[in-house]
Amino acid sequence: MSALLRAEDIGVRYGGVRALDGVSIEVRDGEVLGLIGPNGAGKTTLFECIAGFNRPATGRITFAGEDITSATPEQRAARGLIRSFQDARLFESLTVFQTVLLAQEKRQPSRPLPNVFALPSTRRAERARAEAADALIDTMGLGGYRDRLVSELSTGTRRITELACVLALEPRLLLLDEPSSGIAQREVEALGALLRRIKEVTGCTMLVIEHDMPLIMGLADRIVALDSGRFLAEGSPRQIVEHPEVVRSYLGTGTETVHRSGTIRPRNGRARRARPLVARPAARQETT
Amino acid sequence: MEYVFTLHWPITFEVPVVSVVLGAVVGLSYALLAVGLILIYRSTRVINLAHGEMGALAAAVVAVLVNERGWAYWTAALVALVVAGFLGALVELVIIRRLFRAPRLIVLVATMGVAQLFLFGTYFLNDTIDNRLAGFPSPFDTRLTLGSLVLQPGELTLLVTVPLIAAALAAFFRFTGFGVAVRAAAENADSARLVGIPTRRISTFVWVTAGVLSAGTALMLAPGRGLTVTESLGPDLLMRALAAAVLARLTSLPRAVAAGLAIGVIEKVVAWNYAVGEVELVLFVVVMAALLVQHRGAVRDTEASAWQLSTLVRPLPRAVQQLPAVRAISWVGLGVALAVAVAVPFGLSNSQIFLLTSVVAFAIAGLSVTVLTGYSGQISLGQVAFFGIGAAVSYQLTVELYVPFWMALLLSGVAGAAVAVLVGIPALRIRGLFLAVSTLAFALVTQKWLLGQTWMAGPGVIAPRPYWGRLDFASQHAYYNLALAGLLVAVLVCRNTLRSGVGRNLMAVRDNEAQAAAFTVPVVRTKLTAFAISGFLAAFGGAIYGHGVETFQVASFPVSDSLRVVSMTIIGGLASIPGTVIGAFVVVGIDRLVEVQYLKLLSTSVGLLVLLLYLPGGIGQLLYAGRDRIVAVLTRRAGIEVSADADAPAVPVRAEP
Amino acid sequence: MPAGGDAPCALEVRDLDFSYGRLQVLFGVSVDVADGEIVALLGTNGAGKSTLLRAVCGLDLPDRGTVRCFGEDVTRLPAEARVDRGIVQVPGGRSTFPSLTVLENLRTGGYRYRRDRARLDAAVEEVFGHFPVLAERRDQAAGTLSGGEQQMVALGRAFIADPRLLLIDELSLGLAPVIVEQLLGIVRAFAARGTTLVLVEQSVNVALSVATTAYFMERGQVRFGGPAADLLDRPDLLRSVFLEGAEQSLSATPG
Repeated sequence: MSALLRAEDIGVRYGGVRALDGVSIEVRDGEVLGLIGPNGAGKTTLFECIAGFNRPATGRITFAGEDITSATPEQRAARGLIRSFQDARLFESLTVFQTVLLAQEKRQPSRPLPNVFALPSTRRAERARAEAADALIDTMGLGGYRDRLVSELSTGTRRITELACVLALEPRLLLLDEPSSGIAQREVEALGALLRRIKEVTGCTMLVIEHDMPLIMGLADRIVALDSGRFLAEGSPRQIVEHPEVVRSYLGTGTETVHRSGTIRPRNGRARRARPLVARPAARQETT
Repeated sequence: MEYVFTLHWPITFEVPVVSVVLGAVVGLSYALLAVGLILIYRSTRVINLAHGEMGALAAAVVAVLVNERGWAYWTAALVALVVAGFLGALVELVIIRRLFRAPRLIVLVATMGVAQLFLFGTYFLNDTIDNRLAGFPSPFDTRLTLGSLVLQPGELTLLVTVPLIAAALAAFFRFTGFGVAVRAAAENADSARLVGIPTRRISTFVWVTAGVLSAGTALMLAPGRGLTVTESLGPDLLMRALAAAVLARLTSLPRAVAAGLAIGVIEKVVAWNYAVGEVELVLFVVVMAALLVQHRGAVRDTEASAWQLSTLVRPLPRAVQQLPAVRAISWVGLGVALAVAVAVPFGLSNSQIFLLTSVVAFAIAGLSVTVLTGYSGQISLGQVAFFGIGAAVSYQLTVELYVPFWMALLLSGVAGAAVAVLVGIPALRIRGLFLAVSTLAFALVTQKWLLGQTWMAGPGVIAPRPYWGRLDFASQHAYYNLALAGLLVAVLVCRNTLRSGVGRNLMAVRDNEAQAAAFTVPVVRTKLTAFAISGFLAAFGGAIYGHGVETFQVASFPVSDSLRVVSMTIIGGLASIPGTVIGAFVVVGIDRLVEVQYLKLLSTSVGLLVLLLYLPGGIGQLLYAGRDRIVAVLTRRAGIEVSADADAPAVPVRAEP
Repeated sequence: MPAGGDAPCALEVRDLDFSYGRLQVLFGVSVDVADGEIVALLGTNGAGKSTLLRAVCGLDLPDRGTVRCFGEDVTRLPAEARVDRGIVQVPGGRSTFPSLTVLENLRTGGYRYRRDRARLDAAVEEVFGHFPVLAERRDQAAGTLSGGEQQMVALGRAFIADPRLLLIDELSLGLAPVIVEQLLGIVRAFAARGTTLVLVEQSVNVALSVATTAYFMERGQVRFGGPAADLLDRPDLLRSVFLEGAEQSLSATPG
């Protein structure tokens, strides 16, 4: 498989802190690449560099063969590099319908002067956008929320709205930043299925940051682990889960930190060999 | 003290030592005011536009006590300081605390109202003074004369006290437990509360201190400026103080002193070499350059977001919206309003119709704020600059270039749009509060320098009324109808913009710039479009105004009118077009109708404050509530079941999270 | 459940409801913490743990329910007043005062007894004893320190505030294990003094290394409250927090 996206030697500093130190990753066309690591590992920073919201001090980013290192986020999105946001905050004064309408801007941008004078061409364009938006809303099952303000919806519904917009944005590479954050356990399982479906429908490639391990294990073809701004390990989900470096970066420095050994009794009654508890990687927090 | 340093290249520029010294002295007064502004900003996160007026009121108290009642100066001064402190505490307790969770723009407008209230008080007190010839009392009579330099008592006190006060404050904040607590509370109120620091009491303390500082400054400045202290503490002075504060990034007291000194010196030295207008230009350039340098790089400001004002208008559900009766509401409303507007002049005198024409013109300016601030979230306190530019350009086009009237109106609008885009470019980097200050500076430099140029309005011009064939617009009534037509055009432009994709883009960029970029919405172009549209509207309105009043000069477009335009839009409700028009009527109408100077101040200020405290969504909130009632009736009649949130207001002005 | 007895509960929360505007985030939360106990408050993202802490320390006031500390009803008391009763929180995120020096930050912790210089100085020295690196950087602005050092400052400040009930929100967030170990040192010192501790943690490991009792919250409700050891027998709760669970789920999916 060829590389759809290549980020080489990305370095980012905040004040005295090295958020990213010469990290290189490659996303292959058609795959789902998972990005994991403890908090402060630099995952979101890397994301922001790829999406164009953060200018790295060093490094180069190539997308579909083109060097996009100096492209604006809008330009990257126009080329098919679509990102989602961690909190799916979207736009607090817009309704679901208006938000999905907005996503149509990529295919049918609004032009200022015709809009101001309410020319017939504007009305036609708006009608076309409205039809496309309504179709998407129905596809994603958001009909009941159509005229609700996005800010009043639960995180899960906002996430689905965002995914509806993602469909409209025609992604070639979809960057998902902790899609499951703020979503309850049962909904997360549905989310995994939804993401797989989106991949099928759009044929896009995905790069996903996640803390929810079951979700990412079931979704990703390959996983890259970061720690303290550096590349740590890479492999299939199974390889990563058993990788000693990865386990240690979540657990801590084995001997010094407290760990608890003991038997863990799963429901089938078979006692397993004692293992140190592996803490869930701490929740997302921006490294500013 | 006859020494003069002279530069010969690139231009001949003289720097007399006397000017430098005087500049330093006046600069110290700016610095002291800046210190008060910074204290309040750090504690309340707002610029206190009433800062100068607090001091002016205290000065008026001294004038009354000494000149009328024969009190000794120092006793009177002490009373004045106490009064000022008390006023500061009152403002904090009654208004600022109530608006704790409100968007900062609302609080800013509230301080405008407070400023007017204090101004009322000052006028009232000054009017009780019969003996006008006495001049403002001085603490003592000594003057210091060194060659050609004469330092008045007020200036001497400034020279001595400001550095002392600055040093004392710096020491207080560094070395006392309470001072450190004040700094801590300003940085992180939650953490401060969690160690037992009484943040609310500290806020009151800060406002009291600011009041006392302002009073002190006024008392030192007043002797040199005569009894009418109010003018001397008006927008010009405030702007200088603001500039110093902003140059100090609104955080550092020592830097504020340095900035104040610099501004004072630059002011005096440039004034020596050039005319007054040029001083404003130089200061404007200096302030803008400093701001742009300060704000290089990513704006990840929490500051910017704190100034965001989400205007939420809940759109109607689709089924309801499609009812023909509901669709008719806005057209019916427009029709009724138009009918009323056309009918009203038939019972009025010419001067009253003239007033209505002004209202209409200002309403158009108000709409420019609706677009720029309401929907695009960019705070502009300088819209009347475009207003004036529109009037001047239209004059030049019609009188000097013989351009047909209707074309002149449109081209003035285009000129306004072009200038607005230029103003908007720095606005891409400067956000929120700093943008507000920049636009205020722009308004000042436009009034003091730009409009005074001969190729604009010069010393004052006469912009004639147009005539089309046999239609003569010389009569007030006829011109009023023309202005009304202009308002209709403006309303349609606004409405089309806000209901279209462009309006959606504006709101999206306002609410979440990064997300909008991720949706391929061009952020820079969208923001500049907002500036262009709002500049067009304001200039268009200005052109109509210019031909309406026929004679105007630089003083016709004061900075205070820019603030009035913003308050008119807030009164009307930022999201509401009809609300803004009504707001224009209320603000401009009362301003020009009520003859008695200070009664008008009292009514507008109290009215504004009451509105901000109890009806933050403005008149628009009422209009939308009314509309919702009508819609509910129509919905029930049509038999549609809408699971609407019954208790959700139509215009929930979002509070600060 | 805590061994009650006659000593008043350090913390007794009953049926707490809390909403941000119209969004309800806590639903009838009840928690008991005995004097001197160390409690871990665990749960997924958005479970309401931080919100509960804010209600307990007074930064936000709940819609319904009561909060009692050491027998006193403090539900409506503002945060500043609760500090007088010995309720102190180390908030999550950056909670230092960035432009104040390390020393100034620490001394704000002693605001309540700022006139008692001897006591304040002694407290500051004790903190420096736990965190020598802070002593080195005493005149540096707190905002320039690393994340771990800032957390040391926050904890030190809380130590100086001399709490009876200390709430710590996300002690280990974004910090390397070796730093966390140092921070745990002062936490144990708190415990040794008899301070009641409530630790909100994402890291089960860290929390259970000091806590004897655990509460588990999900979506604004308490799902478990009891001895920490019992929590380990609830894989259904901890499934989202363990890599183990991920492994199980992985072996369950085909291919």
